[in-house]
Amino acid sequence: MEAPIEPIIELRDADIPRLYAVTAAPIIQDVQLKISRGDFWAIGAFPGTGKTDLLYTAAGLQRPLKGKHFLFGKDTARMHEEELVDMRLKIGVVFDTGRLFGNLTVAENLALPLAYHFHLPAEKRLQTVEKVLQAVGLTEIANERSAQITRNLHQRVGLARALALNPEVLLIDNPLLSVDPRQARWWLEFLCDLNTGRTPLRKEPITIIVASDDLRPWTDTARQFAFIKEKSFHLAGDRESLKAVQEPILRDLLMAFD
Amino acid sequence: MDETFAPADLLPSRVPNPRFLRSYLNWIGRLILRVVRTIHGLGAFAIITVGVTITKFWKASGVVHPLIITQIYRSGVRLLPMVSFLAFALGLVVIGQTVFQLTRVGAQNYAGMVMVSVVVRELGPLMTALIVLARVGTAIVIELSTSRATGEVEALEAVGIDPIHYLVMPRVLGTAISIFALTVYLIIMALVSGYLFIFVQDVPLRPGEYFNQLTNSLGYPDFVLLALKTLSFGMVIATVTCYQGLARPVRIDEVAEVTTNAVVESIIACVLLDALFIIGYLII
Repeated sequence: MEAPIEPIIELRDADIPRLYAVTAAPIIQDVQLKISRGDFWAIGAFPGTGKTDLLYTAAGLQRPLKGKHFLFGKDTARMHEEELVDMRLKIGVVFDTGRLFGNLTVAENLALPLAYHFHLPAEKRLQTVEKVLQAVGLTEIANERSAQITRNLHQRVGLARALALNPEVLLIDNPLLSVDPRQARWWLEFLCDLNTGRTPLRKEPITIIVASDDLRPWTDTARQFAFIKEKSFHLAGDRESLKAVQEPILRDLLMAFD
Repeated sequence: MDETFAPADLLPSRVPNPRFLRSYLNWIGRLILRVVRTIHGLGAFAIITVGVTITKFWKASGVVHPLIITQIYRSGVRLLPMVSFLAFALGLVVIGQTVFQLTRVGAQNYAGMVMVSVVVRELGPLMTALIVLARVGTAIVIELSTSRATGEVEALEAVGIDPIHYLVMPRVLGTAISIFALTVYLIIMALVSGYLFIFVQDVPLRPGEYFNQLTNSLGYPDFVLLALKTLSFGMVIATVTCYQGLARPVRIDEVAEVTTNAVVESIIACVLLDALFIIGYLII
């Protein structure tokens, strides 16, 4: 008999706080979520319903108001700060606007976390940065200040920055928001390759969780689906189950602009 | 004549309007709460900063230590021309106002003592701190609050970089070292420019005598207190400005307001600190 696969991220009865909220009212209540190694999740929700807050909590950047949060099988509430930081390094977060360090170049954005965490020789660090930039097709803008690059590349640089730390999980917030169709195709194909371990960066699959306002592009790419409705988190199952779910909000998320 | 009319009826009533009184008391109450909250927040932020500085000073030194050097350059080296001008003016003003009067009563032997009391103990450190606050402190608030508003701080946390270690510690240490060094520079320049004025005014005071007066007026505690005072000013200014920039999420349109708050709080904190050091001088 096979041993049960331990989830790498788990939220159990978790109340998700609103980012920077003054009040302690949760934005999503009683979240039950288990992310296993190799999963590709697409979480659909309309703007302002708590997607970003959920990703922040799942990544360990904020604690749930209630309930449990486990990273790689360990309860984050019992972790020492240093241990939590070590865990977080295995989780790459790609923000919706990239959130790049504006005074640094694109290459420096990638090199900073490497230099901070690892005592790598400068040459080795440069090699890693070049390798990641090449994989995401951004070599040409490596030396440009991140504040000066076109806005729809910000999130791609954010993805490169997350990948430079060789994460096991990627949490990506609305990657297809405000990108042109060609870039949208690039994102879908590249994330699919990362999830199946077909990139030169990493041969092992990377677990991916995407939050999006529009689930349509993800129906052929993601394998697990969920959605947020009126402060509650709902699992929608796999691709086949998704078609069967008769939830109006999910229908809306699947035909957002039809 | 109408007996019911009196000129006093035209004057506003002396009885305070209860609504006005209530709103005034509310305003005072809110002000007190705000002050308490600020002191509480600042205190906690300062303790965290000290803790991070002690525990993580050697962590990622290749990344963080060059930031301290950069901060020293920004808040120290780049301010040298302005401090030179100010030191020159300070020497002339203090000597101009005091030595001339002292000479009239034949008390020019006290010129050195006046310079030490006014420039070394009081004006030198405080003026340097205020210049650094105006030129660098404001820049720190704007820089950090903009970083906060654009989400760079969260991005640092997401890649496992402690914002206090990466953003605050270098600024606090760099600013403290800069204010100390700039104050020493300002004092030396002011003392020299002061003597220039004495020389120009034809006051019968030889350089050797002036130097002797200075050394006789300066004691060992002056050096210790000067170092403590300037380092404290630097730490206070950097901590307050970093706190205002980072402690709470701000929108871009709030950046101006937090900058003003930081300047006001820094000035109040420096003046209070200065008062403490005056007590220290009096005790010693």
